[in-house]
Amino acid sequence: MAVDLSKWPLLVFMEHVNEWKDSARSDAFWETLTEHTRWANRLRDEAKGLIVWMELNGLADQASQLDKRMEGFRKELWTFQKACEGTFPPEDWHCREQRETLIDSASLVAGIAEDLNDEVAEAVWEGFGYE
Amino acid sequence: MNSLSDMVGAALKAYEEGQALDLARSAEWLQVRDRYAWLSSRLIVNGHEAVAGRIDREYQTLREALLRAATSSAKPKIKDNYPLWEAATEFLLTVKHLDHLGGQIEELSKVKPAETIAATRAVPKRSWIQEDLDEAIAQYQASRAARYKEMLSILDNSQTPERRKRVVRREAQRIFGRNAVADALGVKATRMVSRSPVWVKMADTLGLPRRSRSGPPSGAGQRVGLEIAAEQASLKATETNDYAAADTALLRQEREETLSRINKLARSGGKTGHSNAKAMLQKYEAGEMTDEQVRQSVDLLLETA
Repeated sequence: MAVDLSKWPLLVFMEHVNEWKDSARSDAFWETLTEHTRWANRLRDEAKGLIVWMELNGLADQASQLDKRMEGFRKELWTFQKACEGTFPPEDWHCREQRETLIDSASLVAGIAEDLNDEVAEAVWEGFGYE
Repeated sequence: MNSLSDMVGAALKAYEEGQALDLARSAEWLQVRDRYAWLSSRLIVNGHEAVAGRIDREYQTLREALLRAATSSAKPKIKDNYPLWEAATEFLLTVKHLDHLGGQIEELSKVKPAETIAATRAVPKRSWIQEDLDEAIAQYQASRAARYKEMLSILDNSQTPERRKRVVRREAQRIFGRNAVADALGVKATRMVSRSPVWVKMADTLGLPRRSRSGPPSGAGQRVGLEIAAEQASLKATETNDYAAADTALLRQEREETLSRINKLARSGGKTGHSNAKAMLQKYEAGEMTDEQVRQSVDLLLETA
């Protein structure tokens, strides 16, 4: 039986990050760089919604943990884009290496989302307008 | 009315291929600055300090990135300037979610607005000894020293357009005028303010109207008189966009200063700081309280806290 995750937005977010990671590991990734960048920006938007909500509900410490991981992810995304600019990415070792670093930083984001889900009471998410 | 995130988004879209200096000078950016100040106060009076701290931090980071980009010799497009684009995107995302949450900012707040703001009651009138009143007026001026100096620097600057000087003088009248001072200090006999050498000096320096029964006008008064004559002439001149822009900037500064006072009250602690500040912000936003009324009320509440 499928589990309804909608009551736990942090887990939903974690799933979205994991989907992105899986896709970023595939060979098709190199042909869909623009789509993956847009997708990553949607994750960034989703994370910000969670962060703001947690802060509004007096969970500034928890929000800060997710914020820090997202900051790392954003920096790696930018570095990745710069590293792969003007190259044929699959053949450029620096670009390939940067993809791994980017995926690692996404793993850290997914990890903290899972940890925070254990810390944050379910009731906090009542009224959260998940998009 | 457009939401703040719409404004930020539109400003970024309009200038993403352009230069930071153009964005910083744009009308779009000034609108963003104005709306941000309101949003920040709304969060603070509702006790949402963490989120208020976030948008303040993000806004300051964006401002600094804009400043650095504008003064740098390298002139990349805004969208290619990582620190700037990054700061702008973070700020945009935060305000977007806050816009989306809308009324929930109030619903999630534990702060209830005060039903009455004690300090908005008029100060009871009483009799004064002239010496005490002189000292009280000096204190009144000293507690508004920053605003006083700012007004003076605008009025003394020969480059300031006359139209702007007129707006400043009107504001000075509201704060330092005879009746304003008498009301703020609870002076029964208003003429005692007119006789106070402290007030006379202040009024002459700022060019405020006052009734002079004898003696030649002072040098400062003469200077101000000439300015008023020039101002009268400028009234007949066609108003330019520059003048309108100067007025808008001044009014925005006034609003920002008033909002910062409300924020200070909310952050002052105590049981009623937030609820008084929330009620005051609502009245100010609805136009039921003027800038000066808000500032006087905040000063009084902080003194009695």
